[in-house]
Amino acid sequence: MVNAIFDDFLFAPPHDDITRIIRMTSGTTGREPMMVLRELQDGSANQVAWFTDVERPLVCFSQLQLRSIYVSYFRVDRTKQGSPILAIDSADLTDDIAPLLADLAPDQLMGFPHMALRLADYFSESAVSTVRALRMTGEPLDESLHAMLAKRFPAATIRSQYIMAEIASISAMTCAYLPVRRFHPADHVRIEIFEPDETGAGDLLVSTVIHQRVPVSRYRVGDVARLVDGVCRCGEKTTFELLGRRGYDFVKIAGALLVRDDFDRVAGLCADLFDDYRAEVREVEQNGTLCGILSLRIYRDDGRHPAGLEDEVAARYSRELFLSGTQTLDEFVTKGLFMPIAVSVVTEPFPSKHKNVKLSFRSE
Amino acid sequence: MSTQENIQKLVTKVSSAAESGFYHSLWAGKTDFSDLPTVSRDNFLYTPLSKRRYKNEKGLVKVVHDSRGLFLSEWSFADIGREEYGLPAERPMVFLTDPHEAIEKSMWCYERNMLPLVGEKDATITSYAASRYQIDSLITDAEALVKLASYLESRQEPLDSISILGSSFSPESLVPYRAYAARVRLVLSLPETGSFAQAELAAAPRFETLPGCVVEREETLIVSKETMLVTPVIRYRTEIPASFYDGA
Repeated sequence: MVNAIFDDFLFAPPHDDITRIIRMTSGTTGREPMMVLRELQDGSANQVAWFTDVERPLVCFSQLQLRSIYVSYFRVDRTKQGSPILAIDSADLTDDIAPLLADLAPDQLMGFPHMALRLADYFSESAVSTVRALRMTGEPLDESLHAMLAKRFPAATIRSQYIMAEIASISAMTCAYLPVRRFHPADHVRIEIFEPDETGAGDLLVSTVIHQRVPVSRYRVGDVARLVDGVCRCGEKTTFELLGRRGYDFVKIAGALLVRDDFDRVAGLCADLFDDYRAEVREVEQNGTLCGILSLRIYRDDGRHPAGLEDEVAARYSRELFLSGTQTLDEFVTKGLFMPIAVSVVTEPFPSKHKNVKLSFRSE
Repeated sequence: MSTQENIQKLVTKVSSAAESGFYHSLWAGKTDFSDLPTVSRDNFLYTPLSKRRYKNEKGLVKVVHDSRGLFLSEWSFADIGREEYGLPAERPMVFLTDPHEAIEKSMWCYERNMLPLVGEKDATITSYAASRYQIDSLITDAEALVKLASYLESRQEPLDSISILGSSFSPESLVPYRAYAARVRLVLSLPETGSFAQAELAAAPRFETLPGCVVEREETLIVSKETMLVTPVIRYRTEIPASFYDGA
C-alpha cells in the first residue's frame, strides 16, 4: 500500500499546498525497501509536541534522511518563528564541536538515544544545563539507556515516541506515568496483539489512517509487544509495552536473551576502542547441554590495531553485557552456559546494507 | 536600484546594527563599500555564531568543516530559498557529500515548492531511490556526482538538469557528464556565502555573477550579497583564484 501511494503520487502529483516528504525505509527483515510519501500536517498534536517550548532544537539521527525530515517538520511548524535548528552529523563529533555547542546552547535534543548519549561527551557543563528536553525516537529507550541519558542531561525531561517510517506516529509522546518502553497509542491509532503467547507478547498490529485518507487495517509492523492491563493514572485506557523487533532486536538461545540494544549500549561504553561492530550468536551442544557462542567483529575508522584491543573489548563486553535482567555474560560463562566471547578485528568497514543488522543468529 | 546600491544600503544598515558588532568592529568606522576591508573564513572560524547574528528568523544552522576547525553558519529558510542552487524541476534529487549542505539544499527545494529526494551516502541505495522517484534533476557536487555515474549511464533519458555546486571544479573531468542532462551548470558557492556565480559546463567555463551578488576580482574572488543574511556576506574574500572565474 505504501508503494502504491508513492506510485499514485508519481502518476498524478497533486497540486496543493501540503508539504510532503519522501523517505526510503531500510528494508528490514526480508522486506524490500519502500518509498514512503508522507504529508506533514502543520499543527498536528504529535508534531507540535516535538518542538514545544524549545527555541534551539538539535536533531541527532545517524541517517541523513531522518535529519532532513525533522528539519522539514520544524520548517513547517508555525509555532516556531525566530528559531534555528541544527541537524548534527556523526562526522561533526570531534573536540572542535564542543565550543560550537556551547555557543549555540541547544535546549532540546531530538533523535536516537544512542546518538544523544554520544553527543553528551561534547557538551560542557554550562551547555548541558541549557538542555531542557530530550525527545527520543528511532530506537527503543530501555531503562539503562534512559538512566544514562538522565545522568548526562540532568536538567532535561526525557520523553520518547514510537514511530514507524511507513505509518508515522504509532504512540503518543510518552506519558509521565509510564516506565520506559510503555506507550499509549497515538490519537488516530488502534493497536492489537496478534496471537499473543502466554506472557501476552505477540506481533503488534496497527490500524490507522495514513496519508490523510488511506486506511490501514491491522498492519503488522514487525515489532513484538504486549498490552498492559489497567487504566493509566493519566486516564488513558490503552497501554502497550514494546518488546523489540522480531528477528534481530533480540535472540533467545541457551537460556539467555541477547538484546541488540544492550550490545549498542556496551558499544557506547567502548567508543574509545572501536567504531562499529557486528555480533553473531550460535548454539552448540556441549556435554549434553546447549551452550551459547558469541562472536564479535569490530572495526576502527582509524585503521589502528593497538595491542590488547581484542582482550579489552572482550573484558568490557563480558563485564557489561546483560544476557538476562540481572546476569552478565561473565556470569553465564561461569555457569557454563556460554563460551567466552571471541573478538576479532576487521580492517574493512562493514558493508552498508538497507538495514545494518548488528546482531544475528547463525543456526548450525 | 542596482545590486551595488543595494549592497551600499546594506552596509549602512549593518554598520549601525544593534544585533551584532561583528562588521562594525572590523570596518573601524568605514561605511563606504569600496573602502571596506575584506573578511575571510578566518573571521567566521574565530568569531562565534552568536557574535555575528544580525537577525532572528526561523532557519537552519550548519556545521562547516575546514582543515583548521569547525564553525557554524546559520541561514533562514527564506534566505535559503533566495539562493540559486538548482533549476526548477518536478522531481529533484539532492546528493551532496556534505550532509549539512544536503539538508540545506533540500530545504531550498521546499522553499521553491519542489519535493526533493535526499540521497544517502550509499550510492547503490541512492541510485535505487532515484530510479523509483524518477528524478528529473540533480543537485550535487563533483565528488558525489562521480558516484552516480553508473546510474546516470543506465538512464534511458537524460535528466533535465544537473547543478554541480562547489568552490572549485575540474571541468575536463566533468565534461563527460554533459551527456546525462539537457543542461549541466557549475555553481560557485561556499557553505557560508551561498551561491554567487554560475557557468554552463564547458572545458573552459565562463562564470556569470548571480543576481543580488557582486564578485570582485583580485588575486582571488571577493563576494558580496545584497541580502541581509543572518551573517551578511560583505566583501568576503574566497580562496577561489580569479583566473578560474574567467575561464582560464
